[in-house]
Amino acid sequence: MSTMSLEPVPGRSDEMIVNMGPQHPATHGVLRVVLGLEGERITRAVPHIGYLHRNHEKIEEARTYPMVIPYTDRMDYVSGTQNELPFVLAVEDMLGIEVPDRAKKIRTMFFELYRLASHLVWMGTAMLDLGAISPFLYTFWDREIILGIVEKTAGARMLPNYYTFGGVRRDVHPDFFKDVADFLDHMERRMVDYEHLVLESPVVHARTIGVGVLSKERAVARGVSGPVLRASGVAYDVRKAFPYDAYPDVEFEIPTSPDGDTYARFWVRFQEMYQSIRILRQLVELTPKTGPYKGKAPARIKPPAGERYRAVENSRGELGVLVVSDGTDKPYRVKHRGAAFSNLQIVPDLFEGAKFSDAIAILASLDPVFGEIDR
Amino acid sequence: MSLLQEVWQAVKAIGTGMATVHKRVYEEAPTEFYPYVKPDLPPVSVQSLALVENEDGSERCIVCLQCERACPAQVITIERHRNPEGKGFLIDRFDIDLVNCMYCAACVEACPVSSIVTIQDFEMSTYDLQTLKADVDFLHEQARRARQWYSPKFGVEVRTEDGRIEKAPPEMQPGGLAEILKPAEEVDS
Amino acid sequence: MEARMKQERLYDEDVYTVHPEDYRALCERLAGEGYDFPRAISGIDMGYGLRVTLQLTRMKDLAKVTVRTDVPYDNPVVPSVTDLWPGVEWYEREAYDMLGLRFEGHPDLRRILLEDEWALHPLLKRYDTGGYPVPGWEPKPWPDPEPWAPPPPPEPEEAGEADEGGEAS
Ligand code: SF4
Ligand code: SF4
Repeated sequence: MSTMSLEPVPGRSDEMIVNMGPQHPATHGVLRVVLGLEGERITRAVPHIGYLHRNHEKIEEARTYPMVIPYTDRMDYVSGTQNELPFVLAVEDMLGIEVPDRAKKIRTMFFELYRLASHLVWMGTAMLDLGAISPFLYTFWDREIILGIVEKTAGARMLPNYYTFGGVRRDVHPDFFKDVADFLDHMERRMVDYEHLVLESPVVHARTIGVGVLSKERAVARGVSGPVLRASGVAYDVRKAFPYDAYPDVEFEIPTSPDGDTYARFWVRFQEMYQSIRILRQLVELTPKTGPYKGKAPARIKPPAGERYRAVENSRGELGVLVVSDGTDKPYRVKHRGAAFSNLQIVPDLFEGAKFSDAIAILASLDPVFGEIDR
Repeated sequence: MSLLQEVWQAVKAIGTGMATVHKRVYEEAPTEFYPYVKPDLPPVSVQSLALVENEDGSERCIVCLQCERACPAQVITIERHRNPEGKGFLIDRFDIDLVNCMYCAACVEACPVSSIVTIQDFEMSTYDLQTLKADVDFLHEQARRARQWYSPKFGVEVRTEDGRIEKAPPEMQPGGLAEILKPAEEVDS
Repeated sequence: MEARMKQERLYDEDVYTVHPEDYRALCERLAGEGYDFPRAISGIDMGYGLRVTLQLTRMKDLAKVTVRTDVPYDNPVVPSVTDLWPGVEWYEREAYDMLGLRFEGHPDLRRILLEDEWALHPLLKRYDTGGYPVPGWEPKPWPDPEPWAPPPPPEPEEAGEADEGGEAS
């Protein structure tokens, strides 16, 4: 966060300095971008973040390992349990905890349910930014069903604190698999509507095709990951590259697009939703209905001294965590690698030279979540 | 693209949009008429915390401080003294700062006797945050008002019409029922 | 340079621990070897000094490396690698913000999450969660052998732990 504004360039009296945010609805939270505008065209853009900063990393150093899990929930608040997984995996690695197969599958099911929920929120808010209100209402309607399924099992909707070392906290609700199967049927019908309303809409085409093109090399060098990277033509997905949990057991594809523009990012997220539905369909079949949901974990979690980096592919990209242990029951250092944090770095690259109204579409396609960026 | 094509595109887009919206008109709305119709929350839903007493009004809590140690937000404050007659400890102070509580239910999981439980009462909005600094009476009162509560050890428990505390029927229980109820039965006896 | 670098294998990553003067040279070598995806830069307060951990992935074959270097508290200067991987720009700013690590050659080294006028670097172990000094906190002596000292040849497994042992002492 900074109170800094842009210095006017000497001799450029036609440039106007505009503050976009932090309370701008199109910034998806509290992003402030200082823009230099020349008419409609953006000449300079400086993003300022930190308005939602809580310093999770310091708090987590003062908590024991099991206590850290609910804190990680509060980073990327639209994708719930996804945030817990890197930390849980890292500690499991350090301690050598075995996770039962069924627990892995349950974890993966929640992971993919939250990916659908997160992409639904993205779709609604992105369309809201482009001026369409109905998709927002519909996507939240569908997301409500996902959160209802999660709440029945985990007890909370957005911040469920459900994963634990060695598995999950409690067994799934008896109706869980039926609920998920019903929801997938429902979701498949809805996806047809969303294709009509979003991907096939001429308004979306006009606002997004050819806007904010991100080249492959630039995307990789900037550390961009997730759908934004795949929309630039790099097939990097942590689920395939460094498989974790039940992903080796299921079949899915990594959708990529060579275009790298805003429409490609929209398109890739759509295809990911289809892939999520596909993964969930397989898991509903594959997961045993009863069985162990938690492996043997020591009562006091005390990893040996050392460090471990683990990453997962959350809805926004590579969400990693570096856990440094000094052998006590509190982590010595927890460093989160935020996917949205890395992705937001390309804002100056993409904004410069774009029109102001395109900036809104570009930002929507990056899908930032400020709980995670500001941590 | 010719003008005609553009017009046709626009008409088509408006047509599909209208058709999609029209379809939804006949679907059941997900809206809840909240103050008039109370939402139907699942029994495991974590909305607030309560401290359950036994049927005879005695304290279920054995003041073991497990919940205080497990709380990530560190909002539970317990003080205790030795029971002068008999075993165990008695509560001097049992405060939960429900303002800073993050409803993670780690305390409920840690409790060996399922004294601290989660309840479905979420209507706690207030103009004065001080009223949410719950003490032991507040937490007992929450439990007395609650019809049902949940803890991982005992599963869902209900209060019957005549004030007895019973295990909820299996259809109300969350997953892993068999595993939950077995050890609990043994603890009870 | 070889004498001031320790290489080990931790889980699925190659870990290099180098002297801060060789950090930049090693990074240039790794960039030349095709490590193109910067994952993160983390600053860690080791008790005797500050550690910079740079993590990289090579997109071609998904090889992962970690580069570590330790600098003393009184002169926490590390060369910046933003020109090699522009994606670490915000991570270097974050490490500066949280721990006071100064990255030489960074184009825009300002605080990122906290306000510009913020007085302290909160992730330093000398402050508690409230931001007050921890009573009795003293920096530990610099570890001996130094973190980047290569392990003695006969027992590479044991020597791998020497680094952590030094930090605990
Ligand atoms: S629910 Fe969580 S934060 Fe609240 S009192 Fe219990 S352990 Fe503490
Ligand atoms: S509520 Fe439960 S965990 Fe907390 S002190 Fe009482 S018995 Fe122990």
